[in-house]
Formats: sequence, C-alpha cells, structure tokens
Amino acid sequence: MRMIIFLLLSFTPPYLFMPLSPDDGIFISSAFGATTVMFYPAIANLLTRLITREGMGESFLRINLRGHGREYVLSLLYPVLVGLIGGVVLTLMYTKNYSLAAAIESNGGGDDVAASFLYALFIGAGEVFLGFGEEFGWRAYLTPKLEKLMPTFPAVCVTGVIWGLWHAPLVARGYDWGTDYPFFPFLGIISMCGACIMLSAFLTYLTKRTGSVYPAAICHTFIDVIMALCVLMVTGETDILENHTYMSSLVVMFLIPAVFAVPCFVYLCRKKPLPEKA
Amino acid sequence: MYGLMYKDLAVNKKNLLILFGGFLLMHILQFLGGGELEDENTAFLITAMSVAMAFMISGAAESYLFSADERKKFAFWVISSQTGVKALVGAKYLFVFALAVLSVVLSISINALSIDLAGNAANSSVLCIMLFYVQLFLRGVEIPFLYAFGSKRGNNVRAVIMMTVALAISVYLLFGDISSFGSLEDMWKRIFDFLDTEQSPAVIITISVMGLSVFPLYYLSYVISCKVYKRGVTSYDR
Repeated sequence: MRMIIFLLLSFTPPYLFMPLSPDDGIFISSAFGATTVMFYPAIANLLTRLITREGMGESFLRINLRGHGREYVLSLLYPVLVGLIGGVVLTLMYTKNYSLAAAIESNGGGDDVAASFLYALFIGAGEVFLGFGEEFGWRAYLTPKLEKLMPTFPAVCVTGVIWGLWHAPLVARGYDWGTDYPFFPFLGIISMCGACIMLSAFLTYLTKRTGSVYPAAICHTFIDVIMALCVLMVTGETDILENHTYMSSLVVMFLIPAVFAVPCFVYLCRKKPLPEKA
Repeated sequence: MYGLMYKDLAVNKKNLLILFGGFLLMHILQFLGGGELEDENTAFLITAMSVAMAFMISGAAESYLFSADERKKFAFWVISSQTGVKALVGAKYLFVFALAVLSVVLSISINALSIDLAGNAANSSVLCIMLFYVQLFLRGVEIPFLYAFGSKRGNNVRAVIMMTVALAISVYLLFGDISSFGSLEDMWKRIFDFLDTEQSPAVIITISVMGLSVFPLYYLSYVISCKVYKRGVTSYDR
C-alpha cells in the first residue's frame, strides 16, 4: 500500500507537467515544473511516511562520512570516468583520423575545457539538492521497500524500470535519446529503463555501502551535470552527439554503466539487507 | 549529533519560522508588477533585490542559532559528554548548511514560479547558487567568532568588520572611479548577464575555484570552532 501511494505521488507531477505543457521541444515549458520535477520523489517519500504514519526510520539521511570517504570520492569519479570512457568508445566508433589535441582545440582550447569542467563542478555542487530529490525517493525509499518483497537483484532492476518509466514523458519529447530512431518513443523508453537499471546498480551500491543517500545524490547530480561534458571533452565539438544521439546515449548511459554495474550487482547480491541503525 | 540537530530545530522553531516567513515575503516581491513590467532592467532589479534580501534574512536565521546554547552549565555538560564539543559544533555546522541549501531550493523554486506567473521575472538560479556559496563563506568566517567570543561580543566583532568593509566601499564609491557601474538598474542587468553569458575562461575558473574552495574553508572553520569552543564558554553571562 505504501509503495502504491509513493508511486502515485511521484509519478503524478511529471506526467501532469508534460502533457499539459505545449509541445516546444525537449524542455518543460513551465519553469516551475522544470525546476521542481526532480523533487517529487523526495516529496513523495516524505508524504507517504506522513500519510501512512511510518515515521522516519530507514531514511538514509545520515551522512556517515567516517570510514566511507572512498564511496564519496567514487560518487564524484563515476560520472567523470563513465563520460570519458564513453567519449573514447564513441570516438572509436565514429571518428576517423582522431586527434585529442584537435578535439580539445575544437572545444575552445585547454583553458576553455578546464573552465567548463570547473564551472560544471561549481554549479553541480550548488545543485546537489536536485540529485537528492530523486535519490531520496528511489534509492532511500523504493529499493528498500522492494527488497522486503524480493531479493536485492530484482529489487534494483524493478527500481530501474520504475525510474525509467518516470522519465518516459521526457523521453517521449526526445530528451536524452533524441527522436531519430526506430519505434520512437517506445524504444527510447525501453532503453531508458535499461540505462536506469545499470545506473541504479551503482547508486544502490553507494547507498548500501554508506547507509546514506548523499553519495548517490552527489553522483546523480554530477551524472546530469558533468557526464555529457566529459564525453564532449574527448569527442570534441563534432556532430557525433547530434547525429547519433540514440547510439551516443546507449553507449554512455547503458553500455559503460553496465560494465560498472556488474561488480555492484555482485556486491549487492552477496550482501544481506541490513536495517539502518536508529 | 543528529539529536543535537533536532534539539536546535526544536529550540529555535518559532524564530526560524518567523525568519523564514520574512524570507518568503521577500521573494513575493518578485511577483509584484507581474506582466506589467515591460522594462527588462526593472525585472532584473526587482528579482535581484528580492533574492539578495531573502538570503540576508536566511543568513540572519542561521546566525540566530547560536545564542540559545550560551549557558555555562550546558556548555560544560557538552564538553564532558561522550560525543563532546565536536558533535555540538558539527551539528550546528550541518544545521546551518541545511538551512543554506533550503534557502537555495526555495529561492530557485519561487523564482521559477514567478517566471511562470509574473511572466518576465528574471531567472536567478545562478545568482541563488552564487549567494549559497557567499552565505556559506560568511557563516564559515562568522561562526568561529561566535564560539570564541560568545554571540554578544562575536556579533560586535562581526559588526566592526562589516562596518570597515562598508566604509571602504563607501570611500570607493565617493572618491573612486564608478563610471563602469552605470546606473543601479543597469548594474543588476550586467550582474545577471555576467552570470549567464559566456565569460573568459580565466574569469570562469576564478569564480568556480573561489566557489568550490568554500567547502574546505567551511570544514576548516568547523575545526577552528571546535578548538575555540572551550575558550568562548568563559565569556558566557549565565
């Protein structure tokens, strides 16, 4: 029952915002909708606890920095690594006569690349609450609840599918996957679910290892802010991302995260779910 | 430590609510005029002023947290407790950080709402993030003073520093070259343009490094506060 209330509360706003807004590309035309859409899973978490009088047990709100510094560093490194490796793979797939110097030059030179990277970090660090908005709903509420019904592996997969479907209105507008692919938008939505399963594995790993939602929130924010930038750093200002949007997203959001997801799944399947300390 | 944070919330609940009422009231300024604001500069001015004033109020709310604990009995109990000074000071720093984050979340959300409803309010997201860093920096400087001298004397020390800075700015405004500032309305528009449009890499790197360095400085401030806490206890009146 709690899960149904939670899902209703988290799915209603994005599904309401998208069809109600006029069709003007991938962006939600309501500034308020676009700004707050990532908060709704967190709000749903709090409201569900309030409505069902569940209390704030297992909230994963503790920071738990001591002894878990490695996970916090990993949460920052993961988006950068995935972006850079994704960039290399895309370059190998689509570029002939590649030169890193030329790629950096096409991004405006070393100074511009460093400036863009630091600025993204600066903005990302100030916007970590956006990542928190989603993670506090998916990783800190939905996954633990699903784990009570099924083993960890399917719980993470189901979370990924739900998370992917939550993005469906955006995907139907061409967000992340573009519009130029067969069976648009259904293939995009299925791909988004797959990508969310892979990303969910790492984010759940971070949450479980630390017993805290913050590393996942940091990682999620930097996935949104930095990953595409890292891809661009390697590929340069070429037309790869523009002309091969679907394949680019498939590589960067599904294939590379899938490689990282394997050890995470192994860890998650070995570890028995532990309740958070009160 | 989380219990101490809850204690801070419970003790300061009324005052925090009043101050956040003021914070929200400041933001309502953005809705004034609504679609009638045809002048872009006026929209920038109103948005920037309301956001800046709202952040000043939330800054006051953050500073207010410290005076409630200034009792010798409580301070000595904290020093002798198992979690010690680090937990008390850490809880305060976390609480202040949480309030700063809440300020940004509310500011950005209300600004977005005002863009939807009032039509031509300026987008202040980057300004809000900038003010978040400024706010953290100011608290990072202020809190060790509050712990070292008590809130009474600490506020006096802060007031002296602020007045010195204000005096220096006034002297510059009176005798320095202010032609580049133009009018007040233009100034806010240029600040927004500066935040939104592409700048030279050197400027972006400087702003980003300054902003990101606030986090280690905030931690350093916490370490200093832990060290000076015992010294400050002797200055408490009760």
